[in-house]
Amino acid sequence: MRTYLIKRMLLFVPTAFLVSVGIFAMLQFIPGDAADALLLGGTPGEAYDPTEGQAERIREKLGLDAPIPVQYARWMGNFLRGDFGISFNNRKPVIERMAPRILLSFELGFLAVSLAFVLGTVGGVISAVKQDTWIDYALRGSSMTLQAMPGFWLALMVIVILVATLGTKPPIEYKHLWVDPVRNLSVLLLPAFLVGLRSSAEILRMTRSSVLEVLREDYVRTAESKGLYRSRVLGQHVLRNALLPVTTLAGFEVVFLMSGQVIIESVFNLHGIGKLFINAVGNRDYPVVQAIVMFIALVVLLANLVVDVMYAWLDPRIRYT
Amino acid sequence: MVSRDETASAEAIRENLIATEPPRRPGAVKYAVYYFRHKLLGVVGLFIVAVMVFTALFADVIAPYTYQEQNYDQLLHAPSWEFFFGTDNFGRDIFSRIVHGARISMLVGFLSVLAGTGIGAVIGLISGFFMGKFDAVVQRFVDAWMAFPDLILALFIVAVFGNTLPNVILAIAATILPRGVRIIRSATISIREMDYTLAARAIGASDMRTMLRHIMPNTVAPFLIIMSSMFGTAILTEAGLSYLGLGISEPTPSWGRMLTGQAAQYAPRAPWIIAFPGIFLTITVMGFAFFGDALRDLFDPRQRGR
Repeated sequence: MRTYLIKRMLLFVPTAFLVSVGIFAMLQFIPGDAADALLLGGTPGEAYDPTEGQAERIREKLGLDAPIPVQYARWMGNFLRGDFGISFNNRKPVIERMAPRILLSFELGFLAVSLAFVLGTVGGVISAVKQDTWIDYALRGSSMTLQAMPGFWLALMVIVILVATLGTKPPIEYKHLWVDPVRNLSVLLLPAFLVGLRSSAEILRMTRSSVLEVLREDYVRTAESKGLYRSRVLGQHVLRNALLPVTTLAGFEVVFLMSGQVIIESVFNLHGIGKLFINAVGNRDYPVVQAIVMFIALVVLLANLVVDVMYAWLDPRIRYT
Repeated sequence: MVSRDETASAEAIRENLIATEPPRRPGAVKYAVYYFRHKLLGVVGLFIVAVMVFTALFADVIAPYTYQEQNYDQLLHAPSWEFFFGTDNFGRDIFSRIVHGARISMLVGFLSVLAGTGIGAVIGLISGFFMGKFDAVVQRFVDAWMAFPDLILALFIVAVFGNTLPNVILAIAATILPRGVRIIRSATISIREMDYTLAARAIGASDMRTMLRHIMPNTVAPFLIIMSSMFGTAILTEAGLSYLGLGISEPTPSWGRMLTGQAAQYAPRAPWIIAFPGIFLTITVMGFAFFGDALRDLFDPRQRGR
């Protein structure tokens, strides 16, 4: 177990390094640099006429005159210390703009992942146990449809239907979790449900095929023939083995879910990291874009690490090979 | 002397033998016909794909109006014989806009999938063939690449390069590329262990020849499968970008863009504005998914019937 853990953790370092280099390299393609952007307030390329000295001074101050590897090292060093640079838009530190939004996004993500797994595994088990009945067809059909649907469209339609039937919009005024937990949950529950519902489709598919496979195993037949109740066979023998491979999906789902979450935050006008990211992309506010992309990629890498470690802990076959 | 009866029975036995002879493996075409007859979803998928491609190619002929034509006396008109899917808040015919939108979806979908899986396949082939250190390095790159969620990577690329049509295609291709690498690499690794690859090497085929003549043709099946299954994802990513206002810009209609901005405001009064583009997106993505599944079943007998 220990060698596996060490190996797996060591993999994290080069991958995270490549991620950061990739992001840094991409930003070298931007027309104009931070000095231009700061002078202009975020619209590089527009006609402007600062004195050459002005731009030079800012370049020097920002360290843009240094060689690129040095610039990268400085950027990374600052990033690790929590200094994500200064937003082009309002010239505030990026970290100040991100910090108040992180909790909302994490809460939304956590709720969505939990819902996705509960819906997906329960649906998958039911679908497998009732194989080739109308319940199975209905569940598989709806999961296929869900996978093909754009998440934001589903959300829009749900809002329209809610407005049409109830005459009210879902609550949108977000309150901090510690300030007003009920309000907070009532705002986040619908978007989290919609994001989670879409992600549950893949989990349902995988759970179903995994359960079907385990149901054909000899030990299940043995358990049944010695007269165990169906519920006990399922709980003790089938689910334990069948749900194991499903946990590997968790890492994949976190990645998939984030795309959905970014959009859903826009649909519901939730001021999370995703909404900030979309705004920053729209305004070409590169320091914010850069910081958020890096942040999200790190969250993904960490989530994958946790999933792999968890899997090794759950399944002894992994850690001894 | 053999009597007539006996010959007849011998004949019967022989005929019987022929009849009970195990059926021969049907040819590829026959098999495909049989297969599609028994796999309705695959046929449905193929049909949807065909309709969408046709619509995209002949959008100008099919659409009753142009996508920009504004009828100010027909704002937010409900679906009728005049306007099949109603009109939007500018009085533009939604059916015509959807038909033209198919063009963007198909174009972006096809080119980005082709570029993404194509480049991914070349890298995967080389990486899987040579293994070793090169492969290890490539795999770290793929890991790093996969750490970016699809939409976030696409948005990042569009933010840096600007949202023109080629850049949107490039951005979506970039989200598909690492998956192409993974799948073609694993296919290559299993094929290079085959006896015929060994035989090719034994008679002195060069690395290049082994790779191009013996391995590559056998990766065509996974290549086609990943292409058709990624098509739907590509369309969805394009719709997402357009919805966020960072896809291909106006006035070109795109299904995602039809759902954005004012459309959402008018939707409670005129649900057809957002209902139809979304339905078309869903059906198209499903069509490609069904088609991809059918292709996988066709090429990979181990997965058949799952």
